[in-house]
Amino acid sequence: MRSNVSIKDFSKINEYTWEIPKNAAEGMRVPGRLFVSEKLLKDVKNDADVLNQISNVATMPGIVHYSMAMPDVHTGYGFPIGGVAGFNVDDGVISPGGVGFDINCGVRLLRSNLHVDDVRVHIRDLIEALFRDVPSGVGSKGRLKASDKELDGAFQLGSRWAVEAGYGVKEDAENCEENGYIDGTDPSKVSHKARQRGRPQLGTLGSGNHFLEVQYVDEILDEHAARVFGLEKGMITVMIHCGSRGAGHQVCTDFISVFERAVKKYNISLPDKQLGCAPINSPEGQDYFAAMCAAANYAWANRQVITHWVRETFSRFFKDAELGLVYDVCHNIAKIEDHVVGGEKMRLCVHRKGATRAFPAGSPDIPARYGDVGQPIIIPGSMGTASYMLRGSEDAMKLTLGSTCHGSGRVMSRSAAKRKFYGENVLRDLRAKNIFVKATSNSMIAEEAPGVYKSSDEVVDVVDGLGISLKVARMLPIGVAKG
Amino acid sequence: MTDGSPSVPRTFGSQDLTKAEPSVVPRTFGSQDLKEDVGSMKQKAAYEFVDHMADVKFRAFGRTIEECFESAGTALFDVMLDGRLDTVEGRSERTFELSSGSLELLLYEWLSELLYCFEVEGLLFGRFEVECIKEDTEGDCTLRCTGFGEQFNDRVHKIGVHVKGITLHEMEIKHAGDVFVAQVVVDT
Repeated sequence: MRSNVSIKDFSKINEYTWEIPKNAAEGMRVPGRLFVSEKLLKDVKNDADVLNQISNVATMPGIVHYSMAMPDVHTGYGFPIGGVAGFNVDDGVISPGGVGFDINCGVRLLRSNLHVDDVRVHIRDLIEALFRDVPSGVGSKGRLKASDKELDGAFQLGSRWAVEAGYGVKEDAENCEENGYIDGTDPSKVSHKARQRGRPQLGTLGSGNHFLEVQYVDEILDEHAARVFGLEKGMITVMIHCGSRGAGHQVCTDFISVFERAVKKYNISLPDKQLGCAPINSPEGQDYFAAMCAAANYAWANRQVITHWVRETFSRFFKDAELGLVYDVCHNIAKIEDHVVGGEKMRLCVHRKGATRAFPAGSPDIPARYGDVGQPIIIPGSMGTASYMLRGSEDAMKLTLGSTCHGSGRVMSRSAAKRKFYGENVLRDLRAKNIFVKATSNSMIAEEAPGVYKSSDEVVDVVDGLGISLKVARMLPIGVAKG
Repeated sequence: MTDGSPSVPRTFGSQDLTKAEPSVVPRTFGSQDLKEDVGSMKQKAAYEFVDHMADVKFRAFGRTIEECFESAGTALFDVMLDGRLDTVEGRSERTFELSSGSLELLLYEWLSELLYCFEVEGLLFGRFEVECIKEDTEGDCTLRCTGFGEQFNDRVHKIGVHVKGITLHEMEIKHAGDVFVAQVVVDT
């Protein structure tokens, strides 16, 4: 049973909403919804597997509302990247492939008391220093040699563990989704292998699309919300994008095997083995959820330790530098959340695979200081392009189970990028735009060239136009350290 | 491919595996269409890379299922080393014994084990000898194999692509004529 949905199966609902009807492919339990502009639809047409992946997810047991794709969607493995799906906890499933290998890959934004004009003159030395001080690259080992106890602390208490261990201040943990850790996890569900992979990598950036970027606020788009988030025009900000490293990768690896067997045990029929899933309330589902939460907590601990080192580096360059955490969001996660679907209140397991939570003003799940404007949402651009600060809105609760986009979204494969771009040329073009980039290899720079991503401006225009999250500020990069 | 002859028919896999696939991009990560010789270790492995938007997809070939697995293992390290398998010398060896509920899951778990060896122990493999793969009447499969390689050394080896995990997405092992082919997508 493999879907073969074509673009003809689409119907346009409004300027930014397209629907794949339930009868477009065998076994779909709900329709698919794709949130793109006409312009971004062209990218979807060039990436035809996206439609099949949206319809494949729609066949999974217990799915409610729609199988959704955010405007930065592109083909993934199993779920599309940019995919959102909610499953009723009573009769629905949880899927390790629906969260992905990099559990709680996410992004945080630090604001500062520094002005871009004071930092730009030092940017080369600052990026070189950040590149040295924050370990990155494949197989990078952390400066932190985690003991068993520290590893358990990271798995159980995430950011809070890091703060208590001296890697930050109390407000850092409060300014994270879930206050920086999901409570009640059980580190015993994390395999020995996942511990072995995670131990040396705590406090490392990783590689691929992960980065550490020095930016400045180029434009304020919502005065009030920007003031609440503490952002001002010309202010230096730092964005950190990374996840749970080998710990999360191994948790996913372990449970894909478990769930491959569970699919047979629970007699679940799926169009793609990578969508392997089990009832949320089954022993397999509960074990995976516990291990996934532990890996998510590890990711928050990881970003917090890195934040501490970024602050140390900045302090060496700027004596009175202060870097405060605005917020930290997850991109790859499954969360238990309450939503209203078709007028009915439901407890759901919401899978966000390359998507961000976007809760509105008044939500009890966001820090009180942001309560009257909504959850801060951080959208990284591609290397050298604009990033955005958005805020969550009530429309996201109605349309997308409180979700929005997570970035720019690839339009070209890594191998195609390497055929089209040369790392040296990309670096030269970025330097001509006053952006200094330091990476472990030139091929990595080619793979992540700005031209391989959709325009972040276009993606953000769609979510703002739809009303599922609203623009607050735009940031432009001046320096990037990449693994 | 023990005798080095170009015996892998290029049309193989066009029936099922290439249906609804993007166009095949031969040898994205290396210099030849189908790998016959990967430098110093003289590994005879045959595989090809297929374009995928965010990740890496490859097809590994062999005239036996054992050869097919050898090709798949080699392809994984070709991905990680960005085509520079010739930088890996067979200074040490490691034996693997695994069993799993199906051939596909066996391949998934073995490749995942190889990735784990690299991440935790820093082991890079350039060549494999799969002694035997057996399938019993229940469908359970076992594998016994030896990997030849060496410790990662950042002065010699350049890791170009970070493989996060092996997926089951579109994983297929097919046997047609005298050729086995395994298709694998890895998350990068």
